[in-house]
Amino acid sequence: MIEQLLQHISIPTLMCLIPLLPLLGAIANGKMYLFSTRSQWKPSHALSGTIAVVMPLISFLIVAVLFYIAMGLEDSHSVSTGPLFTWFGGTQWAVTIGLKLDQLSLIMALVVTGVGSLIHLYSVGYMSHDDGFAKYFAYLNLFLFFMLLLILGDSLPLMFVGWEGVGLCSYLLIGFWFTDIEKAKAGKKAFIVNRIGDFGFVLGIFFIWQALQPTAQPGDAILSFSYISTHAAFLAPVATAATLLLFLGATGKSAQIPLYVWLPDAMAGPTPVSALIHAATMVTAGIYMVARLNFLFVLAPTTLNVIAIVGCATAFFAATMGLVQDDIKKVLAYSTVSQLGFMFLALGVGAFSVAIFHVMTHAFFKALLFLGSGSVIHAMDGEQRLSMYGGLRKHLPVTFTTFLIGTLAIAGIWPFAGFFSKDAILWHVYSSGHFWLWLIATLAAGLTAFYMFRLVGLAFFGKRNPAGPHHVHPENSVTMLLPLVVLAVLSIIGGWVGVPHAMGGHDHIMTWLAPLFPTALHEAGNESTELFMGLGSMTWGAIWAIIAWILYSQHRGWADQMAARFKRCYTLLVNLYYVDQIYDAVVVQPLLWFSRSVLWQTVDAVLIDKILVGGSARIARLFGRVGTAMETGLVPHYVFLLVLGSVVVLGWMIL
Amino acid sequence: MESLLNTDWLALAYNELPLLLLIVGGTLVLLADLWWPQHILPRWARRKSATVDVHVPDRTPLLLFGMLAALVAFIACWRLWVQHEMPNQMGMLVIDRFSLVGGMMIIGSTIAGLALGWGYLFQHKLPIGEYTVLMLFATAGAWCMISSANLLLAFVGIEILSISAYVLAGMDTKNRLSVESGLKYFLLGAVASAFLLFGIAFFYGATGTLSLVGFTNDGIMQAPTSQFYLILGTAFFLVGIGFKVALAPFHTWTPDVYEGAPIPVTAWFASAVKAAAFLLFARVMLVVLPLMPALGTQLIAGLAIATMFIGNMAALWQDNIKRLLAYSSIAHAGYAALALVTMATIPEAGITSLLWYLMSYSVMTIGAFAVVQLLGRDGEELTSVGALAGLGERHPWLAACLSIFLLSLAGLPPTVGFMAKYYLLANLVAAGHWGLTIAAIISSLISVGYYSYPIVVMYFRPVANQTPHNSMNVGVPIRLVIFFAALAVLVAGIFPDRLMSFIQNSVLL
Amino acid sequence: MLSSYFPIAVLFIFALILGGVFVGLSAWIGRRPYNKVRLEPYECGLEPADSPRKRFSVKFFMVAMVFLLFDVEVTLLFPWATLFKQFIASGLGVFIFIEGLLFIAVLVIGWLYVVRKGALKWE
Repeated sequence: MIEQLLQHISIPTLMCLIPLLPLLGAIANGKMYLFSTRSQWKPSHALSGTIAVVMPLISFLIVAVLFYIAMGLEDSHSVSTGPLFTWFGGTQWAVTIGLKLDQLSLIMALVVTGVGSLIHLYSVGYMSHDDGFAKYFAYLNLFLFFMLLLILGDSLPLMFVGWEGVGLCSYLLIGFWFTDIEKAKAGKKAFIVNRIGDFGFVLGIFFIWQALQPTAQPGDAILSFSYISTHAAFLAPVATAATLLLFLGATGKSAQIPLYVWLPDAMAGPTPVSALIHAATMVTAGIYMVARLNFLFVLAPTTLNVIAIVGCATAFFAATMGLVQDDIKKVLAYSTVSQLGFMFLALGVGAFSVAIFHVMTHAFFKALLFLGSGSVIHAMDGEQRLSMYGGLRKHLPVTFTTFLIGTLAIAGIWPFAGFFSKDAILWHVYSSGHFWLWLIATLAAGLTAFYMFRLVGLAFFGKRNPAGPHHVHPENSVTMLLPLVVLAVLSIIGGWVGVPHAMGGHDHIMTWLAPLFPTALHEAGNESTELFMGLGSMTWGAIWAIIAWILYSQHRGWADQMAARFKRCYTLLVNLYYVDQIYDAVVVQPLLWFSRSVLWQTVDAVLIDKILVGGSARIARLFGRVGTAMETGLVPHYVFLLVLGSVVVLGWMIL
Repeated sequence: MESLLNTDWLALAYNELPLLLLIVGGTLVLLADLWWPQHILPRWARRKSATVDVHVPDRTPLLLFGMLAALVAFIACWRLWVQHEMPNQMGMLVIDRFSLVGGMMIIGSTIAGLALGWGYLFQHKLPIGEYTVLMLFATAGAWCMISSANLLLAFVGIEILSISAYVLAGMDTKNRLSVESGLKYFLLGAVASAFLLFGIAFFYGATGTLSLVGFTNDGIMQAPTSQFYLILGTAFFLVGIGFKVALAPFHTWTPDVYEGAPIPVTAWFASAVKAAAFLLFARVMLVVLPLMPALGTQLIAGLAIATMFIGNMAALWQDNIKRLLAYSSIAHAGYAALALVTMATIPEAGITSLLWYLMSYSVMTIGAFAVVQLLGRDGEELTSVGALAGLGERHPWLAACLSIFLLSLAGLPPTVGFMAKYYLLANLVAAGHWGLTIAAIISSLISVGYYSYPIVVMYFRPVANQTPHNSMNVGVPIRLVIFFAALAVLVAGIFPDRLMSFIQNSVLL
Repeated sequence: MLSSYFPIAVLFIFALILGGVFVGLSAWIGRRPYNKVRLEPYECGLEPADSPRKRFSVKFFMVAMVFLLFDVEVTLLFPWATLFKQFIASGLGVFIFIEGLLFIAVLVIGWLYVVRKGALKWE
């Protein structure tokens, strides 16, 4: 029996298991939750928690095994199931379903399942008092399923399924505590803003389909990545339009200007969700998509420039908005937006592998920071305002240590993970000749260090605010602390796979990813310059960090004075450049007015409801009367109709 | 006689194994039913005071045996399908993949119909043995219809099927409606059979042969009288078969019969009987249409449109769910007739979409009827749509399944009903019938109105009087039927590819 | 070709004339004593004119139907019998014999059904 089972274990079956296991967990937990709503029985937390954690963990182990196997492969380092079956199709083309693991998706899958498993584990402790425990894990596992589908899918439609699926789960989890109307609204906002992006994404797919359709042989899966990459030449005419539309999709999912507004609100969800979905994995889907379709984006230099500029602008503005936030999770949210901007900046200058490198390290330290903040919030009875914190380092030693490691990592201090990836981004921006972008990005990097140390200073140093909660719950849940420690370790060593040659490293990750991406679009810079700039950016970050630390942990008065001095600037920042208000006034209100007065009251109520729907329904029902009138129930009438019909038929036939 | 001498009887028996199994199985059930013990207890142990019910032995094993026979016949069909690349004619019967797919479809419906009888028949005190026998014999008749190369045999098949069906419809003799439906079906069916036979006679007059193969012999067709006879024959045949498949204006019996007959029988009527009649229709049209292309594009198209609209619009008024599904069945006959229109231009595509359509319709209508049957309580069938109120809360899974079936009947994705309509209309467009396609879409839109009605009632109307849980002490088989039907509707709707290639492989003309 | 039917035509005409003559003669010569008994076509048995809704016991229908069924089916044995020798001549004796047996077996099963269901019981 077992031997027979073992015979079936091949690489494709293992690959299929990767997304299917979390799906299984989601179904199990969802079923248990549904059952518990209708009966007295409640699923035990141990049971649903175990299911929820073990499934992603097994997936992670499988990915690790496959990673090991792929490393040993000679030529391509990729494994694929091939087309498992045809999903749908026409006579000329088909959409097949298959999974593919190459260098890029392996890294992503490792991060998603690895960090995902840790966050699941953390959630067991974090959500232990919640009634919707099983429901929460059902959603979370479902999210992993869709995320893995997005990453492993070998074609655009399958990626889109994952793309929409993670959006759905994100919506469900942001509004997890939907009895709070604000949180439900935040979920709605995320969903709607994402739809705008998805609209672009779908249009982009249609563009590609349209351009590739003439080239297809019957049965070709024209939307699979391999087909698109081999036929990229046919896409040259539409490349700019298609990639711009795809990038619109990416700005939605990855929270870039102009569609970033949903992400800060998405912090309404449980904190582990913010860590997993809105920091480590889902929001990087846009970057993954651009990197996956790099062969398409390099055909459109305009788009790349747009991406670089948008990314850079987002990195800077989000960082400035992060400076003055009072909500601990909002700071991290803007920080995420800003970091995602860095990644897009890297993509825009053609440094795809660097972007992926930053995705990976960012996943480690941002997940760590979010989980740390969750730990703080948990200890403070749900209080999220920084001004209510202070001096927590004595109460929460493990959280403090790990949080500090994460902060050092994101601030780009050597030898933490963030240093290598952020430095690589700045270096590639600079060496590709985008001086102004580099300047702004460097400034943004400094601001990053500033607001992060401001956060650390406000939360962990200084005196407790007497207005805050009096009692600090001690940290004693192993399930919550273990992920923190593991992620802290990863935040330290995670960057070491990408130590550049200039610093005496081997830059494994670039070598690993190199076959997938086009060779450098620009001249490689001077190694000594690179080394010098690395040192410079670290010093730059350290200066800002120290300033922030002094301002917010030693002399808090100075900060208030500065806020008073630059009052205008401060209010602008606190109000987030009035972007939400501007969107509301320019887009939402006119749209609402138009829908209400024109579409609803005129078009819908009168034209459609009264005339089209009501009228057609009335006509249909009128004719239905005729139909039912035939049913007298009397056999003679029926025979009469039958004969009448036969006369008609005969008449038609003969005449 | 030479041919008889040379016949390889074993091969013939092998190729007609499904038919033999059905007949022999039916006969065995018949005999077993006759000698089935009348009482559980021996005579000396019976007490006079005990109620009769206690002593009535359950004859469900007969049903089980019938299902087994049908199942083996189904598997035999499948084996034959695998082995028969090319059509194989033996005497009056022809074995090809088309008829084998049809056979699988019909035998599958019969298995489901027998499974639906499980528990229901006992509860309603219907004769289990005869139910099984009639189902099996009727299926054998259906087999003769769909795999006949000869109109006479086809007629015999129709009669075997129809007479069994009349009895099945009127089986619940304690129920006035059932008796009425059986009688109505019989009277009207007899008229239709007369038309059919008359048509066949004219075919004979036109071609000098009853073999469908002879139709293509143009030598006979040259004479002007034979041309006229052919027209008359086609007209009468059309009326007769139009009655059997319920094309307007020959559909009038359908709502009454479907309403009156016991639900398992109705489900089986809507799936197996309709499919068998349509497949025979297609087989005859396959040879007639090339001779008269205008017949398909104009007359059948007209009938199809009338059927779709009458069925869908009349259904809007229904509050009785069985009648609603009956009208829906009429409307679906109209859609399926569109496949015959396609056949006039591109035969392969037409037959493919017809098979697809019938197959998907069978599954979803059986599922819908099964859910309705399951909801009956205390020996009473659930009839009014209003009685579904609050079902979404009381039985969420059942409500979900019924919704799936109804959405599929309405032709909404991601169900098999959508795929069936999609292929049907795509082929119709390929044949150049834009107007028909638009008419079909409009009527399909109308149909959404009444298919959504039970769904709205189930989920959004509160329970009027707080009735306790329905007493659903029916067996596992009906639940299995619902489960598999829902599964099939969804799986084939989302991943239609395998099934499509299976059907396409079956249509090698 | 039609000439072969001539004797039949002659027979028809002769019969018509003969019948007509007898009826005509009796109508012309005979006396007409009208009374109730005289007008009845049968002197015993069922009433000839009666309510159309008169009920018969279903057993009559049963027996009649079963009789009809078996009568018609047995008729099918006639062509079988006439062809029997021909079949033997062409070496298909066993075949035609088994066919006949099968046919009779079907009838027997039907008959068994009728008997076991009590359709012929007159109680």
